[in-house]
Amino acid sequence: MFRRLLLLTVVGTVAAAGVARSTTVIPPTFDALVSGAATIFVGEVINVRSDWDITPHGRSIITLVTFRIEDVWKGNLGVVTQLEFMGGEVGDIGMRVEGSPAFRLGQRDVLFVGSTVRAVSPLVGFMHGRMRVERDTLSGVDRVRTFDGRPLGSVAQIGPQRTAPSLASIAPMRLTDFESAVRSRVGAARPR
Amino acid sequence: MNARHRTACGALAALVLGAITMEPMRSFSVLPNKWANGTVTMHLQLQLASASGTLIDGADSFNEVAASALAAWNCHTDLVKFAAVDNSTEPRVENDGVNSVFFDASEFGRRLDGNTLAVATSWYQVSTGNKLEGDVVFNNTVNWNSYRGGLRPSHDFHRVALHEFGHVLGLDHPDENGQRVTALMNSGITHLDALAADDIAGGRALYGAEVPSNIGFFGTDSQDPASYFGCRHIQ
Repeated sequence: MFRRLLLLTVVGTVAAAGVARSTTVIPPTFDALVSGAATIFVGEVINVRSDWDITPHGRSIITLVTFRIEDVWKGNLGVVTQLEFMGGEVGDIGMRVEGSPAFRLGQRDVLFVGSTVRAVSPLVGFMHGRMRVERDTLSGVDRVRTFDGRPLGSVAQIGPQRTAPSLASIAPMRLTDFESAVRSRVGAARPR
Repeated sequence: MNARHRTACGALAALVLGAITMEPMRSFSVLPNKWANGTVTMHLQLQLASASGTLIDGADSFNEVAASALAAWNCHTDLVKFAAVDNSTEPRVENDGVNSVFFDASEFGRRLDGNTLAVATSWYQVSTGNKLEGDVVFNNTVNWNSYRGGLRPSHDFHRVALHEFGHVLGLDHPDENGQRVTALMNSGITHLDALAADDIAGGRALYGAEVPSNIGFFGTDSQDPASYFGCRHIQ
């Protein structure tokens, strides 16, 4: 009982502290998230590096995020993969794309990658294609949160109808349950 | 379970319930960077080939709608004011010190997907935290119009512009920062079609002259030109 309440306290505190920035994006549904992704994987951030990017449209800053692949749910990937996001800091100059996800070393995420070819965000639905994985320190169970730290209670919560954090959604779903839902959707979409 | 455990459980339960049900201690949410005091000139290049004629709210162009959204923010800031250059001919270049606002299918050459209606980018000096440039790109592959009231099949450019210009000023999404407030700066597009008290409080927190605003902006009455194109003093 005591442990359960302690867990609820921790979960509630983390939920209230969710941070993310955003531009104006219509959140994709779960089906759109899965079908729009060329690859879906679970990965751990092992390197983050920002650099200048010279294009005909001027000088930009990009951030290259390298992931160690833990599991691939859709598509084919090697041991590591790298995603390119607009924005970052180089020297005394910074560029921020409001809403573009920020990654830190050691973070674990489920990434729905739509395009790696010069997109503002390589993720499906900009930032919505990032689901954060957090390990419950008491039980050791991996659980899933949305890009902005809200608990993901079920895949039905993904999409335009998503709501503010509430008591009803305080228990994030297990990563294994999320994986089953994704793999089931991937399997259903596969041509027979 | 002994008495000590029961007391601890009760205290924790009260803490959890309190954290869930209590009102947030503060409102709005700000980004890490802001403008130095002065004028922020936005270069409007919002000619949309697919649009013809008057928009639903009576505006003749998206430039006009964008200018009204900038004016709406100006009603509530003192230390920083937007200025608009209509039909600017500045080249659309990143990191050039020019604040560009335009329609495109890409953000300076990088593709926007169909779910992304608009993107705001900021350039800033790391050491001072001062903003150097703010650009907004509206996706020209989606269906735009401009109207008040409930959402329609076309996207309302006016409320999206108000939201994006709020980002340009330095405001973030309250709902993604643990707050539950009525605000146009929340992450979702809703029936709210004008700046709410929380948005105004955010603008004033960033650029207010530490005196209460006596200016109100009423964006819901499209029949009243004063409410649409500017501010009016609260009596």
